[in-house]
Amino acid sequence: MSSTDRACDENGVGCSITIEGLRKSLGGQPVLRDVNLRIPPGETIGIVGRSGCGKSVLLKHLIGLMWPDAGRVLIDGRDLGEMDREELYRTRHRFGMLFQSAALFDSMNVGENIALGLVYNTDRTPEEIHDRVAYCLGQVGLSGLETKMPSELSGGMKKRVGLARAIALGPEVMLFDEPTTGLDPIMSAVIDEVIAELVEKLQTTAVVVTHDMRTVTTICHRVAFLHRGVIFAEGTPEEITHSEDPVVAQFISGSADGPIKPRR
Amino acid sequence: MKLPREPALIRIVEYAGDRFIRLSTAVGQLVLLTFEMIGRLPQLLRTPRILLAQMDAIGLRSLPLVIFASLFTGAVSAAQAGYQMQGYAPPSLVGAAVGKAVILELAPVLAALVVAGRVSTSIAAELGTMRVTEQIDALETMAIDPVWFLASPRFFAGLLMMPLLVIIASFVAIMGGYAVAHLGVGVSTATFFNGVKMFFEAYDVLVNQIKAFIFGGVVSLSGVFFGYRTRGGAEGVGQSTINAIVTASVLILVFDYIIAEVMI
Repeated sequence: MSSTDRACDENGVGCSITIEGLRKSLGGQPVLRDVNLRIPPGETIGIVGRSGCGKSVLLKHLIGLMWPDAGRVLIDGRDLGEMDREELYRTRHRFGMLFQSAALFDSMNVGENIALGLVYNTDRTPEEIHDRVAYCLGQVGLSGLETKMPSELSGGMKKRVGLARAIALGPEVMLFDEPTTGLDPIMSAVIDEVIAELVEKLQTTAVVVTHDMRTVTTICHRVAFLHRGVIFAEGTPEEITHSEDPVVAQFISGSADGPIKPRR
Repeated sequence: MKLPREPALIRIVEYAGDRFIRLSTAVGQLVLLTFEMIGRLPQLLRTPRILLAQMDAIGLRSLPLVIFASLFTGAVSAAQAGYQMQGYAPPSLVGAAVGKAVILELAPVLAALVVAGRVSTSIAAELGTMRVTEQIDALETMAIDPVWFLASPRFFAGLLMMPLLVIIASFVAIMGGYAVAHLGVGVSTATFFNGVKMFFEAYDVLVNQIKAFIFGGVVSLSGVFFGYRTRGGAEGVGQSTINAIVTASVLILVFDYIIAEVMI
């Protein structure tokens, strides 16, 4: 069954992601030094760390938006780096991604944004696409907003439209890049709830990059703390929030004093 | 402690080497992108709607500007020819001078330069903004190939529409020349058009169309290339826009000379 067919059934179990020895430098500066992580099917994992520690860079490697200097990313055992263009795009069909800025196409209205993947990646009729767009908007609590332009939406609404677009093709893996950054606490809670409901309902594997610990404790089964280019600590949200490691504890408490020296 | 400065010669060699590597990289990327776009042509022809939309945006919407510029180009060339030939050459040569200059040189070059001002910049700004706001990444995650969806329709629309624009520009410029020759210089209708016909050769139209085709490629490729590789934020978009128009304008003049050397 294709991922697009699965979109209607919503009975997926996600797929596994394995990151092995990932290294990446940007502008001569090492960002990821040796990242190793296994994400089993159906798990929601939070990747946390300080701003600029490479969380988003790591996330972009999972879908082939960036390529490692060394190491590999395996999707259900298949190395992304060994895929040809067609296989890479077939694999991307299985993913949905919410960007930090929502990344809505500003020349298209909300309905066209959500429909785009369906128009060019499926054989659905215009009526079926229309219904699917309405369904996805309903899932994020924005029914009837199809004709609005992105410029007419608030930050929270943009994120929810981005979320509706990400689920339109019925992904097996959802990637969230800072889903609550820039939102007020109430809207952050709303987005967290919507994400938690969708991940539960679609039974997807989910990777959430964030530095918002409330998001992590609300929606994640497991947390990986990225520090100095490696997965420094890993555990359940409970274990991480109560960690006695001074580095992790300083990050969780948000203290300026400790082993992590803030860049000024 | 003050570090000793490197000798000036070493700094100059380093700078030159750095510039050479950057230029070589850019040329390599340009060639690769061009081949990628050509490779997407069969896929593009299966979705003509995307190509037609760009032919409209790049070609038809440039028409008023091209007509305006051509009209005055023809008018000025007739006024100058009339002034320079006054008392030295028969009036029929005004038509001959205008016709020859417009078809071989003025219409293709000036139409290309005004279209470059409108199209290269708009393509670079549009794609550049899409790049820095992650909209191109969003397309990739939706398994939509941005080279097929964004780059190749613009490139081929430029290639296809510029010859049409130049044909229209040539006609309008000759008519502008006729208006001034008739009303301002006092050349009769028959004398003017006999003059145009006197030195007209079908080969000139071939040169006119080859120039237009190459200039069309230069205009759209500059916009696509610099837009596509935009980095940074608003400043990066601005820089890409400048690079696109400067490169397009310079290359139009360089290719104009090369074609003149080879074909005339």
